[in-house]
Amino acid sequence: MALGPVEPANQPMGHEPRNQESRPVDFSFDAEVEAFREEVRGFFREELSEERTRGHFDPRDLTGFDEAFERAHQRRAGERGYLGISAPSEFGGGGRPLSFQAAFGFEAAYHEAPCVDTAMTLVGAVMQGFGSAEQKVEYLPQMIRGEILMSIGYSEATAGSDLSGIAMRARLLDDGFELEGTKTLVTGAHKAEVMCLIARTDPDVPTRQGSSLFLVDLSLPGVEIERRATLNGWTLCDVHFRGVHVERKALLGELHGGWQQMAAALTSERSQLFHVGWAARDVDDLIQHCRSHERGGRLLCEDPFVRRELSRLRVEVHVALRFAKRVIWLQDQGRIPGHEAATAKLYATELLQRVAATGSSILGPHAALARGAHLAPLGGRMGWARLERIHGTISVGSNELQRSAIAQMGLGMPRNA
Amino acid sequence: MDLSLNPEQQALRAEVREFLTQNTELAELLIAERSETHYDEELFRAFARRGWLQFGLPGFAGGVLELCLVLEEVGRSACPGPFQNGAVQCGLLLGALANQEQRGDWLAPLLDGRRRASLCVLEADGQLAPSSILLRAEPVDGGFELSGLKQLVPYAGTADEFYVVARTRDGGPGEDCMSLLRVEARLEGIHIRPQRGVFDDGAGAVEFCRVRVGGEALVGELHRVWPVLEDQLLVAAVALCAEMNGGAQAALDLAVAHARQREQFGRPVGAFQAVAHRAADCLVEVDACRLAVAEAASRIDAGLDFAEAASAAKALCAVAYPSVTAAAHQIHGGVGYYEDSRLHLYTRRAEAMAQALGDASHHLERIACLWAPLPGRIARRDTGDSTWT
Repeated sequence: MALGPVEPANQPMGHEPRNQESRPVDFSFDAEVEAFREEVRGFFREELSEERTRGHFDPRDLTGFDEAFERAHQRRAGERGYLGISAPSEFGGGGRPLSFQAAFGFEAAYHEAPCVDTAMTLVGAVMQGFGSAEQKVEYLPQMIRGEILMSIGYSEATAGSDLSGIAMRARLLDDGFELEGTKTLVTGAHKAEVMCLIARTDPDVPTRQGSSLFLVDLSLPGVEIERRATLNGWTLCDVHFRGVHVERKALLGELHGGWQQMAAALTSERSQLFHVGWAARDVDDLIQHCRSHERGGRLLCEDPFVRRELSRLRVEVHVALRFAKRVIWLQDQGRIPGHEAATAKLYATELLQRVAATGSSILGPHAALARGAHLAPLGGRMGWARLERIHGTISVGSNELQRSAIAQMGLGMPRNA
Repeated sequence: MDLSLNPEQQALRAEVREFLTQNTELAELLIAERSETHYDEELFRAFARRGWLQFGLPGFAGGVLELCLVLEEVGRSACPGPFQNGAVQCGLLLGALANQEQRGDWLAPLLDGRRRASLCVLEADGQLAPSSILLRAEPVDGGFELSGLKQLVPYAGTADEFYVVARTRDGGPGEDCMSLLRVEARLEGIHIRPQRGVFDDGAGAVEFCRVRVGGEALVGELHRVWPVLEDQLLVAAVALCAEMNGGAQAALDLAVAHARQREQFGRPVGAFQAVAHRAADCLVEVDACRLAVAEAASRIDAGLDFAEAASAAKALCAVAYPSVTAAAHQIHGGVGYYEDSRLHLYTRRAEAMAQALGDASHHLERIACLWAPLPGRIARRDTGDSTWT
């Protein structure tokens, strides 16, 4: 799987190549993307080697690593030009098609590197789309070099899937804005320098017409960050803003134009190929495990249930991959994916849940052991995954929203009441 | 990466669709299915004469991808006829196994609809495995004498000739004991009993009682056709999947059209999330299948290894087609249960096609043989653990 070694080395069966002069449907990445992937794989293998990571594990962080490791790792990825591989070259980006960025995301996930949520993947699109010339000069080079961590503040207690419920205020002052409110479910705010958030700048009109985006320095007075443990051990943040005074230049894009900008930024790289990276890794590891472990006197991979279920997962990983590739293909041509992006997100996040469920049932009772527990199969990965995969179907547009989007955009169904 | 069809392919699809749309009203299809031949022979010949069943065969223009485009339209129209078993499967086998002379004499008339053939593989246990093939063909006087019973042979009653997979010697499960023989359908000793299915494709059980054929009836190498048969039927499975996808898409289209116009509780039923989300899940399934088929077909055409891609396609479609028709019924409510709705055309076909050329379990096991060959079973190819491109 593994978006894997380029081509299986075996013989084609039975068929002479036909249609070679033009191959109209072709799912393989271009040779340049493949070469890039190969290079990135080498990078991650070295970066995530035991001697590099020893002593840096931190179960309180989503990435599983401590901040020092994450920062050093992202810097090295930045030095090689990986973080901004698809960003414009004027700010130090690689200027390559989005397929490069997606491929990097896949490999980062496959190798479990703390390189999936970077300043670029979180804030890059909105910054490139709507940042002022000064903001771009100030932030983009640092983001691309991996020298800064950022976070996203959209959700609030009253605003989950329906972001029009945001209550956070940004009062217009003569010399800037005053922020008041609380952002919830924020990933990585405890270590980030900057948060990109949305707040209401005109409370007298609906949210869609009266909200703005801000880039807020999290070290400002009045910002309080509260780490809140998730059920899987790592923490999200509640970030409180109490009379936080920001300068005018903290505004990102147009005043009152935040809603539209936020929506537009969501049309950035949307393949979510990194989900597939996690799924491919899980399935590859399960296959490896079943080929080398016995139960009841025979290898697990000789058990009919294991054979069928792991083959099914393999098929489904390939489906997820094709859904993601379809999005990449559309985006690389400058087209905006509709139901295709929703399909990729929906399918991959639900697949991750199936992988964890099936994987656990294949591994047996030991699968429920925690990560790192004594004699836990696959190092306790499946038990961890059972809990970890819960949130993928909820965050970044719950899968209910994705299904509605597919029904409306892909099938022309009426808008739901 | 390029997922678009070229202008010729788009034109081909439009042409086939137009041809079929004009000839496949529900009433016409039901008359054809219930007729003595179980399909409209005139229509099938007119279709075949256009050269649409020659794609994907050596010596003819176009590839399996073109064949899939054509068959997807067949599936959408629900037109009955020996498209798969009679034309595609027999065609692929002759293309891969027949010598020059046999190709000229047998393949061309088959593909342009002049002759009607049926491929006879399955027997009592319905499994696509050499150990399940018990029909014997003994060498006699430079020819063969066939005895045994083939089952689920589509359009058995109208076939001019049978291509019969037969055991020509003893030994083990028999991967290297199988031969392919061409048998004229009207020979003495052949008895056909109808096996009417929920979709009536004229299937029959064909009994061969000491049926004699000459040495020239042998297609391909004596005793050694099984590996070729397996490979070619895998290509044929991709073609079958294309027809299934066309049907699944058509069933979904019917359901969506219904959900948009049918009002209950003061609004279109499609405005209820429970309905819209089920339809969305159908589109995800159909899209997954179409992309899987496109990838498998393009790998075949490019001469790449396609074993996993093809089995994946059938494993997916075998589940998706019945699942989409089931959802389409739920969305339709009562009106979809009547025979005067087109929906049952797809529902009934889905049942038959999910099983043909191996069901989901069969193909998942074939995939398992790629990542974990069983001891004692010949691993024909090992793709290693990482088989993505």
